[in-house]
Amino acid sequence: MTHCKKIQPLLVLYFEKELDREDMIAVESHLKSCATCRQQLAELTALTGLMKPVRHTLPSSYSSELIVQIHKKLEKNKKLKIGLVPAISFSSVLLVLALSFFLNTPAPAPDRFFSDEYLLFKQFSGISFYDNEVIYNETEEIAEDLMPGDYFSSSQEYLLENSEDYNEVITQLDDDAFEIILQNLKNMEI
Amino acid sequence: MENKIFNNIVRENHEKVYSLFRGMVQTHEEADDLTQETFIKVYKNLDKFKGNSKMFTWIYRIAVNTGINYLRKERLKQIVGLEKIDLRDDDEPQALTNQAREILTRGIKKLPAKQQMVIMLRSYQELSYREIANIMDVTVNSAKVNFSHAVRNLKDILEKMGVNYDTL
Repeated sequence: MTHCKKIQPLLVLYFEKELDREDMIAVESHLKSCATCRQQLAELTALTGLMKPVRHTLPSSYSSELIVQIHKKLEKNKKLKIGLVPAISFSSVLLVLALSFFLNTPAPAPDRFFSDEYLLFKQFSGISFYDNEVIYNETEEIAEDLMPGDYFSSSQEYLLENSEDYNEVITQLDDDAFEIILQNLKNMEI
Repeated sequence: MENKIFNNIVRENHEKVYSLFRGMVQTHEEADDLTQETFIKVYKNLDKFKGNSKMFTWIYRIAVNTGINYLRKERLKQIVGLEKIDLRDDDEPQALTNQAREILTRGIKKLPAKQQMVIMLRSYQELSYREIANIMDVTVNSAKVNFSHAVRNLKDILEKMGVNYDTL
């Protein structure tokens, strides 16, 4: 049974022939005498056999339409950015000042706190974007929740503390670490 | 940057990017949106591409990160109670349908974002572990372990959904 626990994590790579020689021999030898692992192998093989590429045929006009849409959005973003800069920069300055006071750390880049995730969260919570007092109180809690040293690897902690791009931080987190952040947000009950 | 160069990049790579997303989401519109988002990021970051990897690998990396972000936003929506309501989800007995692919898709959607992506890249895009490693910025061995882990998790999820392998 103990042997099964060592062998089963290798079964996917066994039938993919991606194991090194030593592991390959160990798995083969074990399979000869273990019906449970043979069954596991059969099921995993059946499962991966189902996961085959699906060909989606796109109309020949798709790439031209896609290019038009992309350029439209780029143009729209450019206009939006020009319009938003004065409003965002003023509230960002207030927010950064408040945060530096609360956290006693160097002022973080403002866009970290105006990321898609944060804005999404704000949108769901129904609190106005420009309500700075609420924003920095919540942001303080989020910042604390994002740095519970016990949960993250050192490279993830480095990212959390140093990256100026919040989206990038979220993307790079391990699945487990992301789940911890979600649970923290959930527990905030906003 | 000349738009002509960028437009050619879109023409040469859009099918792979679209196909990655189409395997991950339910509708053409969602896959189309994610494809657009990916190429907008490509446009904005093209000056940062140093040629250390193939253009295809670099674009795929942006697409994979865009996909992970999308899946995590969907998860965030679930957490705050605004998830899309899928009436067929969770505890409905699976014997009611024999459409294996549909069951599989529902199982994959329950995996964490990075595990979903590694399954998309390996099984649906048929990339080598070396390519996956380059795209996801991990070692080849980690790419193998991650895929193996994802498939085994998927198997557990399908079993919890009541899937019988004889019917698949």
